[in-house]
Amino acid sequence: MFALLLQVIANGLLIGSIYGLAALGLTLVWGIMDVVNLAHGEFILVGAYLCYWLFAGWGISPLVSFALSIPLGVLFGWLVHVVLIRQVVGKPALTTLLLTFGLSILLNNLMLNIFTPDVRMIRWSQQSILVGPLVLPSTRLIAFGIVLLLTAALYLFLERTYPGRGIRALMQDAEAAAALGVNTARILLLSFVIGTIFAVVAGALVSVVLPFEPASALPLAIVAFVVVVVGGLGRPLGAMLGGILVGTVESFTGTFISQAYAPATVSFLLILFLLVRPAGLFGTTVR
Amino acid sequence: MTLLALCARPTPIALLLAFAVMALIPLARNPELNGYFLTLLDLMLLTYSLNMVVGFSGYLSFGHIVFWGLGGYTAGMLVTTIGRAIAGELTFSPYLLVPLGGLVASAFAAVIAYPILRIRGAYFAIATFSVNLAVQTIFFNVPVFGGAEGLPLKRFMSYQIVPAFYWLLAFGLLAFLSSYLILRIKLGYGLLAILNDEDVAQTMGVNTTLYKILIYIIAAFFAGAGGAVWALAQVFVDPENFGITRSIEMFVAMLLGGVGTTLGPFIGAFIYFAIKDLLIIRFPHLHLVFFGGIIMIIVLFVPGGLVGALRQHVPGLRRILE
Repeated sequence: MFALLLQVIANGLLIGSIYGLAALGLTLVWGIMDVVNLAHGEFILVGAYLCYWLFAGWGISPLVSFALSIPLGVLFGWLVHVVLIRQVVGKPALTTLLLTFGLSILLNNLMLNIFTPDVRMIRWSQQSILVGPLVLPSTRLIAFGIVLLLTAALYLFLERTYPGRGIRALMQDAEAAAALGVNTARILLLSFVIGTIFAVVAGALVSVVLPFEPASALPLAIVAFVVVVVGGLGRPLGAMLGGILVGTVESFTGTFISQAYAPATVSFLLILFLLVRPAGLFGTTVR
Repeated sequence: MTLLALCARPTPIALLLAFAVMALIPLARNPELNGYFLTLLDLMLLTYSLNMVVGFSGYLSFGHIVFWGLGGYTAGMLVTTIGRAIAGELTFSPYLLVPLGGLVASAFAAVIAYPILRIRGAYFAIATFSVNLAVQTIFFNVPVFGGAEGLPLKRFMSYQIVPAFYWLLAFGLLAFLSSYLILRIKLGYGLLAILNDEDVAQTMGVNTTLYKILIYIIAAFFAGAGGAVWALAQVFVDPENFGITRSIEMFVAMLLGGVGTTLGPFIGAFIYFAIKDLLIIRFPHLHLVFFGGIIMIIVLFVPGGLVGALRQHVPGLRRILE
C-alpha cells in the first residue's frame, strides 16, 4: 500500500510538472497582459503535433523536436501577438476571451483536418528506471528534467536580465513601469512569446508521456487554468507547485476512484479554489 | 394593456409577424424543411438564452450548454422512467414534459448561481466551462443516465417532428418577448448597471446579486426547455448534448446578430445558417475553421454584430432596431 502511494505521488509529480510548465506560459500572459488565452490548449497541442509529425513521418527523435519547439514557439507566439493579441490588450475581458475563443476554434478544427481526430502517442522509449519499489518511465524523467531546466532558465531570466525585470515591473504596476521608461509594447510581445514557447514545449513533452488528440485541447487548457488559479495569478513558482498538486490530485483520482473521473475532479478543484481561495495558494491579491 | 403598448413598436411587430410566417412552414409537409427549421429554431432559442446572460449582464457564460443538456436529460429520464412504469409507449404527448426540462435547468442554475456569480470576468467564464465539463463527465459515467451510450427513447415514444417544431417556435417567441420585457423593467436596468460597472452599481444600491441570479435562472429555463424539445425530437439523448459544437454555434449566432440586442439572436441564427449552408457545400470539414475566423473578425471589427453595426451607421434605424 505504501509503495502504491509513493508510486501515485511520483506519477503525479512527473505529469504535474509538465502541467506546471504549460501553466507557466498562461500565468505570464494572464498576469502581465490581463489577457486570458482560451486557445492555450491548442498552443500546447501545436508542440505535441510537431513532435508527433517529426517522429512518425521522419523518424526524428523527440529530443530534437523538444529543441525545435522553442523556435516554433517564438514564431507562432510572435505571429499571434502581432496579428491578434496586440489589438485587444487592455480591452474588457469579454473581448479578449471571445477573440481567443475564436482562435481556439480555428486552430482546433485546423488540427482536426490536418491530423484527423485519431488519438496519438509517441512510442519512443519504453524503458523504465526502478528506484526501490518505484517504477519511473524514462520518458517522464527526461520530461521532468527539461521542465526543471526551463523553469530555472525562466527564473534566472526574470531575476537577472533587464527585459526580465521589465516583465516583473509590468506585473506589479504597468503604468508606473511605463512612466519609468519600460518599453511596454516590447515587454508585452516578449511575455506573449515566452508564454507561447512554454506552451509549445509543454506540448512536445506531453506527446511522449500522454496520449493526445485535437479534443485534448480543452482538458489541457482547463488543467492549465486550474494550475494558474491554484498557484496564484502571475506567480511562476506558484504555477510549478500548483501543477504538481493538480497532477497528484489527478493521479490519486485515477488510481483510487476511476480514470474517467479525473477531469471532473480537476474541474471541482478549480471551482473549489475560485470559491474558497481565489488568490490561490501562493497569491496575496485578488483581481 | 401596458404589455400591448410596449409591443406596438417596429421590432416586436416585425418579429411577431416573422414568427407567424414561420408557423406556416409545416403546412408545406416537407420533412427536410421541417428538420432544417427545427435546428434553426433550437439554435435561436439557445442564443436568446445565452444573450440574456452574456449580452444583458456581461457575464461570459461559456458553459451555457450545460442547461441545454440538463433539459434534454430531464426529458429523456422522464420518458424512460414513465415508459418503463407503464411498460409501453407514453399515453400522452411527451412534449408536455418540456417545461419540466426548463424547470430542472433553472433549478440547477439556482443552486450554482450564488457561488458562481460571485466570480467575475475570465474566472467566471472558466468556472462555467468547468461546471459543464464536470456535469458531462457525470452523465458520461453514471449508469442510470445510460453512460456513453445515452438514452434511446424509441421504445416509449414515436418520432414526431411537427409538435417539436411548434414547441420550439412557441418558446422562441416567449424568449424574445421575455428579453424585450426584461430590458424594460427594473431587472433590465439593474443588469445594464452591472454590465457598465458592477462596483459602481453596487455602491449606488443596486441589488446586483439578486439581478444576476434572476437572469441566470430565467436564461437557464429557456435553454433547458430547448434541450428537452431537442432530445424528444431526436428520440435520443447522450453526453454529446453537453458537447462543444452547439456551444460554438450559439456564440457565433449571438455575435453575428448583435450581443445584448433583442433582435440579434433572431437575425444571428438566420445568418449563421445561411453562412453554414454556403460553407458546408464548399468546405464540408473546414466550416468550423471559418467560424473561428468569423468570431475573431466580429470581435475585432464589428463588435456590435449586424444589429449593432446598422444602429451605429444608419441613424434612422436606431429607433427601429432594438
